[in-house]
Amino acid sequence: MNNAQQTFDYPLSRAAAPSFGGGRGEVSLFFKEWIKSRWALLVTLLAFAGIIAYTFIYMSTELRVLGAGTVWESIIQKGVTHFDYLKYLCLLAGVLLAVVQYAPEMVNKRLKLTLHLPLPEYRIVLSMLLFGILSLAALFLLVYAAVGVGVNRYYPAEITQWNLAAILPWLWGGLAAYLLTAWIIIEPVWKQRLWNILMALCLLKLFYFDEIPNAYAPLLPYLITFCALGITFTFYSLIRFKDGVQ
Amino acid sequence: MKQLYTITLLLVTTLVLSWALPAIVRIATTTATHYPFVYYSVLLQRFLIRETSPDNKLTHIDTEGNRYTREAFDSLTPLLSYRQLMLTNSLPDTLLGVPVDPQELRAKTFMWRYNPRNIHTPALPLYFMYESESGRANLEAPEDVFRLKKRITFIDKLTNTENTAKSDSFQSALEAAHFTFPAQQVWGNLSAKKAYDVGYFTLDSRGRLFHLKMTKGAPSVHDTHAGDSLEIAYFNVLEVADHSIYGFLVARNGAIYTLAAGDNYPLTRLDIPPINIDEHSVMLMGNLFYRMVNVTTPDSVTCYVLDAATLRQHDRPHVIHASPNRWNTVARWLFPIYLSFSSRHSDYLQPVFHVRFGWSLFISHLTFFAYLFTAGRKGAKRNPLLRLVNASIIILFGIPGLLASLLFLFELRAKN
Repeated sequence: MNNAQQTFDYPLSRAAAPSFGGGRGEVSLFFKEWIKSRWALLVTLLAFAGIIAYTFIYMSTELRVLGAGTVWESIIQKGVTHFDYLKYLCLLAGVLLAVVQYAPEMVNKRLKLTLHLPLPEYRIVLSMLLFGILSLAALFLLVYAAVGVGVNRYYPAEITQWNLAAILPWLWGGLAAYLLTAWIIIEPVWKQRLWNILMALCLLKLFYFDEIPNAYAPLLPYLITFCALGITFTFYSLIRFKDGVQ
Repeated sequence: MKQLYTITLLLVTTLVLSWALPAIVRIATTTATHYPFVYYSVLLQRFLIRETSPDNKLTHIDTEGNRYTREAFDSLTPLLSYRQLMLTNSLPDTLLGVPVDPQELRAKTFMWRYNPRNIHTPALPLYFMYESESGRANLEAPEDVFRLKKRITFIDKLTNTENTAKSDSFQSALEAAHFTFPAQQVWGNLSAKKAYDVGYFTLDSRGRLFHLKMTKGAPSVHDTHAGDSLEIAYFNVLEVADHSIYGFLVARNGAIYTLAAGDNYPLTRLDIPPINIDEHSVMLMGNLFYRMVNVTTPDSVTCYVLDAATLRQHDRPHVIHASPNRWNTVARWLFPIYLSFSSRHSDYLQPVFHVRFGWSLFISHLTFFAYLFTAGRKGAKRNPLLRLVNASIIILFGIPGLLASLLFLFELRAKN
């Protein structure tokens, strides 16, 4: 335990010395993940806040300069949405969080030490994944709420729903990007890793078809199921890592 | 557990490849389904066909096989080429005994199209209510938009708040006309770039079609009674220059009707067989004497000519079969089952499995045996369950299944 803490070089030892029993192990792991990813999460949060604030300033300027008639007309007749900048930011957020969480674990195979913590291995990895999923989910919920509340100030519920429907697949795409990046990083063999990258790119493309908002309505349940399945991919790579596959 | 994870990944990889590979092959092999332009000649009383060759040369023939020059084609189709004929002073004075007036020809010429995407598309349910009798040459954009679902609500564009007085006035008019909420559908032409406005046609909760418009600032609501005998799938408002019709109506059973302008909203069925509203598209060209209706199916286009007055068939239909698409041939050989998410018949994305058992199934069996006795030999002996999964995915999905199996072969080898 002591060795593990020193090797990780994370201030886990500075935590209030939680013992690994009765669920407190997971809390400690969450704390470890928080230490690793807090800056990345902060940067992501600021990026989202910046983009959303910029979009609302643009929206208000557009109404003032072009006039409500022209803007409403382009939205209602052409289905224009306002949050295109969020498209790839969600993807980047998922990739960045996975990189800061799992890349350090793969340097000098530190993950092996993490797996030696006094918890079942699946609970260790599940806790790490859960931290990432919950962090992203919280972030994306904030984004979703901010977009919803903000658009509602300027436009009726239908246009708000239209914009929310446009960003929803991208938010799920961010979550998928996180799980797929974790799968790729933990994979120990480069040749397999390249295959994984290729597969991940194909899978992520499913969230980024350039379609009319709400076009995803029939597909989204399948994509959400895929996100749930994506958790098992990481376990597959983990077992290969543990087996010492070279 | 590892076996379960491996099989999950194998299946997901197969599904992804069974979408991605056919999508790439399709882009590389697909050829446009090209149909020639067909128009009914009022002078010859038969169809004329204008075909563009790959080197952009035009050929003009009729259904009897006679060839024509471009100028002859123009002369034989005065209802189509009247502007060209006016330019060369060769527009006839009468056609079928009727004096020809270019202005009337223009007013009677229109086009209407139907595509399954019209009914399978997400739409933003807000609409502009134009003033139908403004007395102005151009339509003016209203200051509000309206929604029509559980009730009708007008929302002011400047303040994003409800215009209660207007909402109440229209709500009362709809209730007085016995419109039952919630509205199922609202159809209209939202554009201000039209000659005049006829308002909206809306389907109430009981499937009855109502006509809703604003006249001199007041609501005007009428039951068209079209929904009394029909299950309506789609109505397309069409502001034709001669004000003769309100638009075209497509019933759930595939029959197509025109809803004529007039107090009683007369409904006339087009004398063509019912279409498959989810797969077939329709192009209708109207002129002074005829309605030419082209119904396009995946295999062919059938051209009908109907009398403009009665909408009964005027002549025998002409059928043109689609040229074979290279993609279809390739898919028939390579992919027993493949997956797609988008369709040219719908704007919605949904997973659809295309099953084309035939030669591709025979080839996928050969592929599996080749795999079994070469690359997959070692892995198959090690794991009978994996062998079963490999067999299933290679036989059912062909090359995508083979690639997915090879992907996991690395893993088996790496471990040794």
